[in-house]
Amino acid sequence: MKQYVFGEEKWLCKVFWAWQDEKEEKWLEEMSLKGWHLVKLAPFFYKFRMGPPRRMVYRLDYKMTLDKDYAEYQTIFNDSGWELVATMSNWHYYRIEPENERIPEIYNTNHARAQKYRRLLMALLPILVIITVVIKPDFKMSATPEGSVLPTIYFVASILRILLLIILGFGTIKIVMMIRQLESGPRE
Amino acid sequence: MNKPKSAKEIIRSVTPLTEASFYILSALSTPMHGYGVMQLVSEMTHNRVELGPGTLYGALTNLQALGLIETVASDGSDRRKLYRQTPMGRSVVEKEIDRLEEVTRHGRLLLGL
Repeated sequence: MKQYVFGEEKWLCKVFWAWQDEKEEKWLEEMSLKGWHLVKLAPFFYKFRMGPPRRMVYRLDYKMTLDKDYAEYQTIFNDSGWELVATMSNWHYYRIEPENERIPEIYNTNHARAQKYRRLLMALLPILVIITVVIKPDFKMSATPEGSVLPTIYFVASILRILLLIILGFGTIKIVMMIRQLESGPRE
Repeated sequence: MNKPKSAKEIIRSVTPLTEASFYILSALSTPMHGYGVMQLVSEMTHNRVELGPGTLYGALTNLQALGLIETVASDGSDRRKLYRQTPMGRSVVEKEIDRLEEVTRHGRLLLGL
């Protein structure tokens, strides 16, 4: 794990995929126990600030910030005492300090939690379709002059697109499986 | 996307209500904000039922989509939405109360309480 320390602050590089959100929550909680509290996010990077070690419970939620009812969504979380620490590509990082032994939850049941992954899936599917169908590199080797760098660019772009497709495809399958598992029990 | 459903279909698809939905739907016989529902339910159940914001937001969205609750125009000074039961919401929760009463009555009878 790479880290860059600047006095009381540090940036950490760590990779969590969308389906590893519970692992990520746990890790953030462990960091807070060591006194490192989350301040800011960038893709695969976390900025922490040193403070008194305290047990903070972190919860991640997925919600489109462009949704019509986004203000109401925010109000409900805010009113119930959860602090929105940071948002990154529609992922919301909430935190709360537990008052007693009981661990606060944003979702009380598995069925309710599944709704979060349903929202994520609904956001993921259009992207998957766009990359598969719309952005399809079409290239004719014969039409390029000799010594052109175009074939190289085309080659790199295709590889990147395929990598992205693999990650997105794998992620979609993982998320569908998670939803099925969460919704397999009876509704409580 | 979804065809409008008949009242019967809606009742069949939402019952039995989850504990969260039951409390939310019942509480909204008086118009209230989301947070008001959360507080009321915590107080009534002595913190046994603590609705998380994700659960509450999801349930409010679903109940609204099903036409069991609706938003009331607020005075504008507060950005919070006010919710209340619709007549269909009320009949759903009344049916649930009857069902739950029958369930507990039978339970008592069978255990000789």
